[in-house]
Order: sequence, then structure tokens, then C-alpha cells
Amino acid sequence: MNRLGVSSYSLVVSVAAILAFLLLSTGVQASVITAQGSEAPVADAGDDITIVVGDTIRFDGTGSIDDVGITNYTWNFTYEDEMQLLYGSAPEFEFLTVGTYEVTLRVTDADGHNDTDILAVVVEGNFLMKYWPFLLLGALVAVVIFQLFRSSRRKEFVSPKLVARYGVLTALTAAVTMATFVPFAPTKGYFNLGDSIVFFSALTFAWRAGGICGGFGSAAADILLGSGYFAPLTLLAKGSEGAVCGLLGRIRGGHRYAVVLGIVAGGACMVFSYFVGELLLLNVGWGAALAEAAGNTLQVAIGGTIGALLAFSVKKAYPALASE
Amino acid sequence: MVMFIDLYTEANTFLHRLDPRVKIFAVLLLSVLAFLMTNLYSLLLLLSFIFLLLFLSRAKWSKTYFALKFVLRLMLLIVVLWPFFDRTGTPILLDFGPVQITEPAIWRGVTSALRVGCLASVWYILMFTTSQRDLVLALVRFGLRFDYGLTIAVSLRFFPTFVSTIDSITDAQKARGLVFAQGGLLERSKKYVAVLVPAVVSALRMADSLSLALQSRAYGARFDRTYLRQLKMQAKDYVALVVVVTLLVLPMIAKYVYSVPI
Repeated sequence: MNRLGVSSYSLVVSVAAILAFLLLSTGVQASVITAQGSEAPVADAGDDITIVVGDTIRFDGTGSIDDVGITNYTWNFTYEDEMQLLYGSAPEFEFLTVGTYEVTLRVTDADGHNDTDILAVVVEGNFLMKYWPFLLLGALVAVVIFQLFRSSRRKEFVSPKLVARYGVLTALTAAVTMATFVPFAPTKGYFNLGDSIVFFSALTFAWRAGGICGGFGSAAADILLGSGYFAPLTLLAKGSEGAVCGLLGRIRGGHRYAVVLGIVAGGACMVFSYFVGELLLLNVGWGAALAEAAGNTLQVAIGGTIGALLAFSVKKAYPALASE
Repeated sequence: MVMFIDLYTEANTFLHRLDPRVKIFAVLLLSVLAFLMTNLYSLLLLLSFIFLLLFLSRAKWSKTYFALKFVLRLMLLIVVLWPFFDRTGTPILLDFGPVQITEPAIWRGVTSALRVGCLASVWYILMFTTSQRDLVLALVRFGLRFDYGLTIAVSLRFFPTFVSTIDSITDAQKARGLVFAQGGLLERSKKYVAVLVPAVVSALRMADSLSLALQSRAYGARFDRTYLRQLKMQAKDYVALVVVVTLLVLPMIAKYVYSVPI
């Protein structure tokens, strides 16, 4: 839904252009050749590498130097109990088995001198092994949420007023996420104003309402709209958005600057959570993650503006709120 | 656009009769399985398995399409953008100097998009075959406190109400001459304030009367409440559970014990 912001497709182009520029400016490499008498070459197999199972690795021996020129690069290592020999300055190899491999590069120059260098290739299990800290963190968050839910020491239920308010605001967040697309003709994209209700709840009813209604309402919208796999990420992203905005936005009774600070900080939490989550957990690649982050930023900017407007005008239209 | 408020489709298939807790568990396990898989063909296999289950649960085409629409867009984005950011592998198909498009990178993009597709569609097995009431009941049986469960039930109950409230307010404002399809992005969004303020106020009024209604029905009078509907695991539920666990454990053994790339 909102992840695919407005101008996904024009963003694609601009992101690609920026990337091309960056690569151009860093990609220029100069090779060093010294012209002196015939000396032994110096082998350089490059830095040690860590990859994930199934990745293809490209060895890089072009850092090796010699005065008369290297004629032969030989890479040798043991893979699945077999000796592997690769030739060339930058050969490729696909590792399908987990383990640490010691790869020896031997370079020989035109005069028959040679030198060796050793490179360690660590092939990691995969996602689960590589990102276990994130999974641990996720599990911790899940346990905290679960505990929060389950073993609150009060032996009575939360007040009917809160049940009704949180339930209704959660439903409203989900409904607004779903029912208000702002269509954006050039790219046929759209985005929704769900964030405005998150910000409104946070600014009007403090951080707990913002976190719960923002997190659960938006996650529910994800599930109901058929993007359930996004729900845990949304729970974290929009929940932190609402909670942070509610904490900061009500400083000094909701001073104007506090509101702006709250919306900016909350929005930053949301954009950052989605970006990191999409990149590391869903592994959508840098391109899609950057495009999404740009769309999300735009969405927060507009959602924040409208949320602040709502917080002011609803207080006027529904005076019962002012007594809260 | 055809819009569906609730993905649940009434039918009487084995997936509909399955205990919701087993289905929630199955969604989680199959998601883990999708994360474990790095091979294009295994992911394709998983995706076809998921769609076979959807077919068996008599999922409606229009609903599946509606749900998949957002996911397809993300998948497309991944496939198109992935090769630009991943320069490893040969053969190199296109070379614009700094930007190299390699064949393995394209396949990696497709693989990642397929994984996202699997992660998305596996939810439909749960959402298409389980009523919201059963979902909340299952969460409560998993240990969620009743009052939080009730809050979720309230929000699910009012969600369609608010969608139609927003729709009718939008229509009312249109009838008064507000044009939504004009102006820049910010201008268009601002027009929605005229819809959102009445919607929020009506929601808050709703919350007030709902809280009175809850009190008048003796909500919270006793902490140790009982339930009209009980979930009970039956033989077929245990069989399904074993099947799902096997579906996860076998590939895991293949991968981590025998180092088979899946």
C-alpha cells in the first residue's frame, strides 16, 4: 500500500542516475607499474571475503605488482575435498557449501619469478546465520509485546472507555489507510493518509494511543489489504512513529515547535524502520528500498501536515476533547 | 476499483474447518521456509503449493487479484531495480561502464521478488479461510488478554463502518462542490481535511457511546470470564500440524545437515 509511494517509477530513474554518478566517481582505478630491473612480483589476493551460500565470488588479483608484468595468476583451494584451480587475474567461483576456504594466489612474471598470497573466503549459512542479531532483536521485541499483553499484573480489565477509544481509533487508522488514496496521475501511483490519523491520535491522546492505534491499525490495514507479510514491520514502523510523536509532540502542552519535532522524529522512525526492514529482512534490494524510502518520506510529510491540522481542528469541532 | 473489506470467503473446505491456531502456525512456518530458500526453483515450488492450497480453499479470483495487486507492484520494482545495484557474476549482459547488468543478478532479483510473493500469498491461506471472530478467539487462546482481544474485535467490527462513513462524507463534500481530482499533491491531500475532520469527530462520538454500551453490558465485572465458543483441536488439526512442521523440518535438514542448496 503506502510502501509503494507516489512516484515509484520516476524515482527509479533518478535513483539510477545518482547511482551511475557515484559509481563513475569512485570506479576509476589506476594500475601501478614500476619500471625497474627484473624483481620478484608481489602477490595481492585482495581482502578476505565473507559471502552467503550460493553467491558467486569474483577473486581479484589485479592489486599484484611486478616490474616486467605478470604472466600467470593461479588460484588454488580445496572445495568439497577436491583441489580447485582457477586461472586469470579475476576468475569467478560459486560456493554452494558452508565453510571457511583458504585460497592461495600464486603470480608468476615473465622472468619466472613468483610470489603467493593467501585469502580467506568465509561462506556463511544464509540469511538466518548472517542476520541472527536482527532476528534476536525481533524475537526480543516479540517477547516484550507478548509479555505486555499477557501478564499485566492488574487483575481487572482496562476501562471500557479505553477499550472503546483504542478500538475505534485503530479501526479509523485502518479505514483511512484504505479509503483515502490521493491519486497521483503521472505515475498512476497513490498514497494514503493513514499517517495523519496516527499523528492525530498521538498528538491528541499521547504516546500510548499513538503507538497502539498507529501500529495495530496500520498492521491491520496491511493484513486486510493482502500484504500481511508487511504487518510485523508495519507494527514496528508505525507503532514507533505514533509513540515517538506522542512523546515529543506533547512537550509543553503541545507547543507548535514540539508538534513539528514530534512529527519529524516520528516520521524518521517510520521511514528508517521500513528501509532497514525491507533491506535486511525482506531483502528487496537497494533499489526498491530506496524508492520506498523516498515515497515514505513524502507520505510522512503530507500525513504530518494533515495530522497536525486535524489535531487542532478536531479540538475545536468536538469540545468534549478539550477536557481530556 | 473493486474493494474488499474482508478477505474472508464463506465456504466449507478442509482449510475452513481447520483450527485457526493451526493456520496461524502454518503461516508462520511457511514464512520461515520462504526465508530459508535461496533457490529459484524451490521458491517457485513453494509458491505453486500455496496457490494450490488457495485453489482448494475456493479462493475467489477477484479477491486474490485485489490482494495481490499491491504485492505485484513491489515484486516488479524489485525485479527491475535489483540488477542496477548488484554487479557481481558473469556473463555481463550490458555494460555502461559503472552500471553493469549481469545475468546472475537478474535471477537473484527474480528470486527475491518470488520470495516476497510467497511471503505475501501465504497469508491469504489464513485470511481467506478464517473469519475475524475465529482469528480473535485464536489469539485469546494463545494467551492474549481478553480486553486486548476485545479491542481488536472492536476495531475489526468498526473498520468497514468507518470505510463507508468516509465514503459517504466524501460524497457529501463532492455534492457541495469539493473537487478531489484537481491540483497538486499537497493541495489534493489538504482537501481530505474536509473529510477527515467529520470522520474523526464521528468516530470519537462512536467511542463514547460504545464505552457506555460496554459498561451497560457489565464489561469487566468478573476477570475470570467464560466463552460461548470454544476452540478444540481435533485429530485432523494435529495431522495438519504435523504435515506443516514436516514441510519446514525436511528442507531444514536437507540444507543444514546435508548441505543441499534449496
